[in-house]
Amino acid sequence: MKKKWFIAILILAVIAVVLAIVFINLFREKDTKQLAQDVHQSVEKGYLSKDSDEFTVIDSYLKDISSKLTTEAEKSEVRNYLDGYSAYVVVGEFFDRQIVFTQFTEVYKNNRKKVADNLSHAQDKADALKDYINANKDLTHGSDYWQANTWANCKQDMKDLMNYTIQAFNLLGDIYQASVPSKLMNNGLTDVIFDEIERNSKQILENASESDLYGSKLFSFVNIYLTKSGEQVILNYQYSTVAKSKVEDIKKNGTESSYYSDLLTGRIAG
Amino acid sequence: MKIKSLLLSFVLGLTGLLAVLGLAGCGDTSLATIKENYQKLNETYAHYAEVFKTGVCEGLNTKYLISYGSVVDNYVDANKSGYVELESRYNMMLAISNDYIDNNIAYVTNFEEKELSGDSKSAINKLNENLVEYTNSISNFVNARNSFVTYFSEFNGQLNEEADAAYLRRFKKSYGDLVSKNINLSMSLAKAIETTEIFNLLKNTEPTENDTNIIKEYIRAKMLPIFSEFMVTEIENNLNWSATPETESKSKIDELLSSLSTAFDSYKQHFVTSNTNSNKMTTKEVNDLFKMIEEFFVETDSYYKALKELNISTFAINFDFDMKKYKEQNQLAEVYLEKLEQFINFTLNNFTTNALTLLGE
Repeated sequence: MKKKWFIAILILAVIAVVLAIVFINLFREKDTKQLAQDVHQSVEKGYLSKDSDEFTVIDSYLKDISSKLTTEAEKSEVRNYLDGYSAYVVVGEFFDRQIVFTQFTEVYKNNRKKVADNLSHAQDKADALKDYINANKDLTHGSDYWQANTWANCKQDMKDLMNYTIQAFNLLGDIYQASVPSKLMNNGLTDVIFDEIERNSKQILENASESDLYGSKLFSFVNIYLTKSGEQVILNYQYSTVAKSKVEDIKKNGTESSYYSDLLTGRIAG
Repeated sequence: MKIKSLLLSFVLGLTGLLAVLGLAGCGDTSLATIKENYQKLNETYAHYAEVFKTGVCEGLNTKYLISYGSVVDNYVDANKSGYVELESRYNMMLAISNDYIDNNIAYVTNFEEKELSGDSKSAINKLNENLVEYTNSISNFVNARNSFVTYFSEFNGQLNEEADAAYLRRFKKSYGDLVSKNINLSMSLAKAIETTEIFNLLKNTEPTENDTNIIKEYIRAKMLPIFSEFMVTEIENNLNWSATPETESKSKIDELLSSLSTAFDSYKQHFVTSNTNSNKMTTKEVNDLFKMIEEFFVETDSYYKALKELNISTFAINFDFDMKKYKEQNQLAEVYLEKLEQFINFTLNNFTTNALTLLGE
C-alpha cells in the first residue's frame, strides 16, 4: 500500500516537472541580446571600431602603401580595401544600433552563430595584420621599400578580413530583413540599400584590382543612409510616395532603373 | 492492477493540475464582470468626490480635476517650477486617459459574449486585471493627496523649501503610480478594441466626421504612454532627479526630457484641446492613416524596450550616470540611449506631422 502511494506521488512529481519545463519554454521570452552583444563587441572594441589598434594600424598602412605600390592593379586593390574597410565600420555601427531591436525569428536563430563566427575570424585576420605590420615597421623603420614589398604578405589576410566581414554583414542583412518588425526601420528602402552594399562588396572581393572605385562608392553610399543622421532618410521612407515609387522601379529594373542614380546620391525622396 | 493504479494516479494528477490552474484564474473574464468592475470604479470615484471634481484642466473638460489645497493650487496657477506639472502633466495625463476609458468601455462591454474571438477574450482578461488594480490604487492616492494638502495647509511658510520639495516628491510618486496604472488600463482597453472589427469597418465604409474623431481619440490614447513612461514612470516615480550627479549622460537625458516635454505640449495642442472642426477623410486617407498608425506603434515598441533596458534609475543610483562604468554591466546602454534620442528627436515628430496632415489639421 505504501509502495503504491509512493509510486503515485513520484508520477505526479514527474508530471509537474515536465509540465513546468514545457510551460517555461513556451512562454520564455527569447531576446536578441546575444547577437547584439557580439556585434557590439566588434564595433566598440574590436576591429570594426575606428579607435581600435587594428583599424588605425591597418588604415594607416593601406594609406601609406596605396601610392607606393608599383602596379595599377595593386594600387586599385589597396584603395578598394582601404575605403571598403572604412565603409564596413559605418555598416557595423548601423547594425550595432539596430540588431538588439530585432525579434527572435528562425532566421535569427539559424544565423546568429554564423555571424559571430565570421566576425571572430575577421578579428583574427585583423589581429594578424596588425601584428605583422607593427613588427615589420619596427624592423625596417617604415622605409618605402618595406612598405611596397610587404603588401604581398598582407594581401591574403586583408582579403580574408574583407571576406569574413562581408559574410557577417550579408547574414546580418538577412537577419535584419526577417526580424526587425518595424516598417519604419525595415522597408523597401533598406532592402535596396542592403542589395547595393552586397553588390559593391562582391565587386570589392572579385574585382578589386580592376578598378579602384568600388570601395569609395561603397563608402559614399553607406555614409548617406547608415549613419545616425542618414537613418532619418530610412525613417522618412514610409511617408514618401515619391521614394516608394522610385524604390519599386529600382527593385524591378536594378541598376538599369532611371532612379538608380537617385539612390546612389541620396535623392531618393526628392 | 499496478497499471491501473499508475493510470489512475496520472489522471488524478492531471485533473488536480488543471483544477489548480483553473482556480488560479486561467478562465475567461465575462463582460458582465467588466461592467461590474467599471461600476465599482465609478463608485470609488464618487466616494472620493472631494478629490476628483468636474472642471477644466488646461482647456480639457474633465470629471477628474484634482486640487491640492489653496497653497499648492496657487503655486500651480503661478506656474511654479515643480508644482505646475501637477496639472500640466499628471492631471492632464489622468484626464486624457480617463476620457478614453469613459468614452470607449461601453463599446467593449456591449458585445455578445459568443461573438468574442480568442484574442478578444485574452484582451478582456487583461482589461479586467488592470481595472481592478487601478480601482484598488485610488485609495492610496487619495491618502497621499490628503497628507500633501494637510502638510501645506498646516506648515506653509514654517518649514524650508527642502522639506516642501520632499513632500512634493513623495506625492508625485504616488500620483505617478496612479497615472501609470490608469494609462495601463486605457491601453488594455485600446488593445481590446483592436481585437474587434471596428477598425476594419472604419477602413471599409464611407468615412464621416465622427470617424475622424474616433481615430484621433485612438491616436491620442495610444500616444500617451510615450510621454508618461519616460517623464512620469521612469523618472519622477523613481528618482530625486535634482539630487542625481551631473554628467554628460545626465545632460543628454535632460535634453531628451526637455524635447519630450515640448512634444507633449504639441500633442496636447493638436490632439487634446484643438478646436479644429473634424475633417471628413476619404477612404484612402483612413486606410493610409491606419497603416501609418500601425507602423509607428510597432516602432514605439523599440522605444519602450530601449527605455526599459537603459534602466535610468539603476544608471543614476548605482552608477552616478557614469556611462563608462555602466557599460561594464549594461554593455548596450549607449545603444538604448541612442534609440531614445532617435525616437524623441525625429520619429515622434515625423509621425505627428504626417498623421495631422491626413487628419486635416
